[in-house]
Amino acid sequence: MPQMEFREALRSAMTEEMERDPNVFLMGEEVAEYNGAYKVSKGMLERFGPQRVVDTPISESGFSGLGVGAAMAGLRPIIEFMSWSFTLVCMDQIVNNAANIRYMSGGQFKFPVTFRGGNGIAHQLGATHSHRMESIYSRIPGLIVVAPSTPADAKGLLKTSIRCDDPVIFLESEKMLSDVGEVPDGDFTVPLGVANVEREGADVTIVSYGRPLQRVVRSAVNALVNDHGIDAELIDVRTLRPLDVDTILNSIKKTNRCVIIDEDWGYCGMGSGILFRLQKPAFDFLDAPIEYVHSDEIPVPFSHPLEEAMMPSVDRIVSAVKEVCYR
Amino acid sequence: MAVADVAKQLEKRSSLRATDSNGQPDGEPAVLRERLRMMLLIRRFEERVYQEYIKPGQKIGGFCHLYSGQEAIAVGTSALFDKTRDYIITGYRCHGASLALGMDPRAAIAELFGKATGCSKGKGGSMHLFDAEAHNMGGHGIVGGQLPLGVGLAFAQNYKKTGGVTFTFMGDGAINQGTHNESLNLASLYKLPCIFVVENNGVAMGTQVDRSSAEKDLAERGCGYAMPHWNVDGNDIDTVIREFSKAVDRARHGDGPSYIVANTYRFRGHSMSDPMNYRKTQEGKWRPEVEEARKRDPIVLYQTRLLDQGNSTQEQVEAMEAEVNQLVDEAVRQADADPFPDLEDRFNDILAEKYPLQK
Amino acid sequence: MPTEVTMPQMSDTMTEGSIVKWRKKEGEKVAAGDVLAEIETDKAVMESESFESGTVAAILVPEGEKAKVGAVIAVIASAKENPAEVKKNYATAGASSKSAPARTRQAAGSTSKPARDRESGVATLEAASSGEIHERADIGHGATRSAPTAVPAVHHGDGNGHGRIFATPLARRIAAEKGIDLRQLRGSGPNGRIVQRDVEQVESTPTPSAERITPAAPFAAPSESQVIPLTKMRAAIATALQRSKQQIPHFYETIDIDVEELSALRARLNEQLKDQNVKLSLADFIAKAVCTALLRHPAVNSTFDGTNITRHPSVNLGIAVAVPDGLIVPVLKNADRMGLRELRERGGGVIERARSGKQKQDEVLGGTFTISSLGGYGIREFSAIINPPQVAILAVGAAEKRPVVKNNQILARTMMTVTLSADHRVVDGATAAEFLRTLKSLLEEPGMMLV
Repeated sequence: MPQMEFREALRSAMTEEMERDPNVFLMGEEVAEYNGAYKVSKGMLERFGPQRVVDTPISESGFSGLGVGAAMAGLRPIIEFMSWSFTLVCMDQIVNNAANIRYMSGGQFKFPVTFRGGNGIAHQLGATHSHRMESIYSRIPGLIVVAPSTPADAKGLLKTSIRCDDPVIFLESEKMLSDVGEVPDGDFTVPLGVANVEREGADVTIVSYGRPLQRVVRSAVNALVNDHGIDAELIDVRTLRPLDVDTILNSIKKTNRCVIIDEDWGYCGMGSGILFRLQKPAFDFLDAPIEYVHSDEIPVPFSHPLEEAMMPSVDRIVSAVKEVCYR
Repeated sequence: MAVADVAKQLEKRSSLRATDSNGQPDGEPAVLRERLRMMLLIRRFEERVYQEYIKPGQKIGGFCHLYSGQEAIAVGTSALFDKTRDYIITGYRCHGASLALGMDPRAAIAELFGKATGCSKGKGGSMHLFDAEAHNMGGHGIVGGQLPLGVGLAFAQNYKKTGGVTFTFMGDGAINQGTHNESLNLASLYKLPCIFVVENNGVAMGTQVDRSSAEKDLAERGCGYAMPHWNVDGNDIDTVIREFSKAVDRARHGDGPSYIVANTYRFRGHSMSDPMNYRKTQEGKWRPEVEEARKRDPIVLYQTRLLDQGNSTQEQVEAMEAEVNQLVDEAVRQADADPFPDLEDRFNDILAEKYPLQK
Repeated sequence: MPTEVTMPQMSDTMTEGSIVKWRKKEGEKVAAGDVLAEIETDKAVMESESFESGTVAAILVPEGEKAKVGAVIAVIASAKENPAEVKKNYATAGASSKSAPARTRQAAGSTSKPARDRESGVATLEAASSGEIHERADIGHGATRSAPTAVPAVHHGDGNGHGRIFATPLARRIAAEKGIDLRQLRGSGPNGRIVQRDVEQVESTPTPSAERITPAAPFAAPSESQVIPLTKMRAAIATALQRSKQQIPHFYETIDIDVEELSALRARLNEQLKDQNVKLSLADFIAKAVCTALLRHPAVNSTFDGTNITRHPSVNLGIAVAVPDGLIVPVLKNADRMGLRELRERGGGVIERARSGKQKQDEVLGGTFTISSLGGYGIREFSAIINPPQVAILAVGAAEKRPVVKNNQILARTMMTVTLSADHRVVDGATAAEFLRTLKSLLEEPGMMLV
């Protein structure tokens, strides 16, 4: 099985889909001549030409709405945001147009547009460039929200997202782009709406996704298993909306305790939403309240030690797990 | 290329389908009368909606923005519209465009009533009339929100090389939204077949244009985007057709977008809840502008012209009036009797796919 | 129309009840399902729910007073009525003792919310013995405050001092399945929370689930004689048992049963059921065998009112449960239709509710046969007193290794002795013997229950 970087996996997905369907095109800031702000679209301009790999001015409202309009007229756009933080200026186009028009028209149109880009805290980019937008979009009916944490899932989920006829919010992270992993050959797709049990275990259900999972949760699970003798079951949610509640619930029925981890702000954060979906069906199986480990509720500071301290750490996660295990 | 040069080019090249070289309407009398009929239909429909709105019982809830007085723009556009490949998209004052593109008045009024037979199954309402088959892309509630969509539609036409054009309508208020800047720039940068039409009825909600736009000549708001931008008398349908067709030809030839300010007047308030105090004097009387506007009622103008040119008779006009009146009355009667949507239907039409999804 | 709330019939033998506490006051809003009052029957204190929503317009029977079953005890005004007006009407008319026309509703039986163990007649005794004073002037237990306690265990489940048992939903579920009383446990979680491991560490007893083994309380010998008036429950038990003994000509038959095979079967089945969190006990098998045998010997599954014998098509199995001041016999309806797992689960639930005073209305009525067990105490053999209108009762002793003669050899086998008490007016010796023979054969060869 080939090994590839996360960014290559994304590129490979887009390239394959653009070869497969002439209606797919890529648009965003620096995607063409610059070869991608983070080199995700490297070489694609050469391969597909400027009609299909389109540089934009810095006009998020303009080009995100353009993507929605183009989808309305039968194309299948991939709209790249240099950072999901920048979508705060164009939320109207995503929330009111991409997500709502199908409903408001009584189902007359579909919106097969994929919005993708780096999400969350990267490295010292400051409070305006470090937004975790997952909870904001995951609450919108009409949107699909996806967050891969491995190169394989990046490719498989992006291909399905592009083929999907609904608007997809595809959340990556600059900090994952250089990760290397095994990616299956061929027309490899991963279904939307299905969580992955990355590690089976019996003692506690750990739930996470995307960059937080990649950054700290895997290390924490290793620590739990190797240093603390806690047999953790790790679930990578992968699709945040619609959430695969069944997989998580079946795990909780087995382990009787659950810890959710992300880098969002706790109150009304992504983990709160997951917790909400779980708490009632899981109630009778819980031996402890569901724990949610999240970032401190502060604007993201610039200084490195402050930024690190804000986010969940291995220690904080281990602590939370021990608490629900009463150890 | 300087704007002046472009204008010259347009003059030379335009097909001038609306009028012949003497500025006379060009076309079969039946076609011309059909345009009058459509304006009458729109006017009658809007006036009837007004009546329904103010009746007790709240059959029409929420916002309702009436098009009375602006009919020439919608109907003029429809005369140039190629429904196999063109698109129209507009803001929330969308009843006129929808009817002009052939929407059944019953489907329109049923939508306002929130009935299951509404064009959007009762889920959109007055601001969100859509008709995919007719290439009527809505009906949008957020001021200026539709502009990037229009650019996207034009992008698709360009991408697929259909030769189609997109009429992207907006009001004089939308030109002050950020999306206005972004959309004009993108459309021009990519040379898209996007025709921006500003329906300038002189007032954005309650704010006169000269209090909201530093630049008093709104056509100049289309300046700085390397596209032709000019003013047009939006109350004269033949002028509308003639001027818009210049933009259409330019777009179909792949030369990019245009920016037309169609100056008109809105007889009703901004919406149903607008008392139009801005049109009244201190003593509460209508300002002179209102009277002036009535003299330039697009329907009156056109009707007079058709009669004068012999393209219509008074009997024909009256017959048309009676017919559209009946049509509207019948539409209202039917829509009244139509059922509300099934409660369970509120869960439908959100997503196109079923999940989990494997493709 | 206003709703008349009447005193409910909460047990077979109840003729009147007394109001322990009104949970809703006059003028307070009440929603359908809310608890209106705590009512003491002859057996226990039960919670009574309102069927209707509205405002409590009038309370006709104050706390501490009694009313006959069926008497109107309160009136609820509907949303459209004026409570003050309604109250006036009832003040002048007085509480009617017969049911009013359309809208009289018996107050519902107690709720079955397991989480609230704090308020029941049983708990007040517990609280009294643990030193907490409850402001309940009416119970008639005043003197018991200073009395040495009858049976309460050393460990109180409200060891967190809050008067409430904190236990996780999972722990509660396991406890209910195993028939473990949460009040017996000290929780190891925060705030004294009882968690899964606390419950798992308690061995569920291999003996019939009817009795709970409680260590005897250290008995402080009083320095002088004490006069203890009977509690309601004790009085009711006294009356019922005396009447039974006096009126029913009891006779007794005893038989020994070899349960060695049965124990092995139980172990095998539990192994398979392990990951479904089900643990069967011997009592479940006995209950199943008894039900099967009763269907084959319907004469023993009858009730007798002095004139007519009624044979019942299904078995409503009474299980005798010891509570601190006496005995309750909750009933498992249609037990014959249940498999072992359901007997375990439902039986466990019914017993738990009985112990905490939370039994539902239909759980105390309609029994056709009763099983009583003292096996947990090591009692080898005993005879029980019949619960009329039933015609028989089975007393189950301890399962223990005994030397027995089998195939002319002396072997150590797990044996159990059961004694059937039967009403000789309507059950003959032979009938009783046939029943016991069937029961023995089913327990010694459980596969025969499938035949």
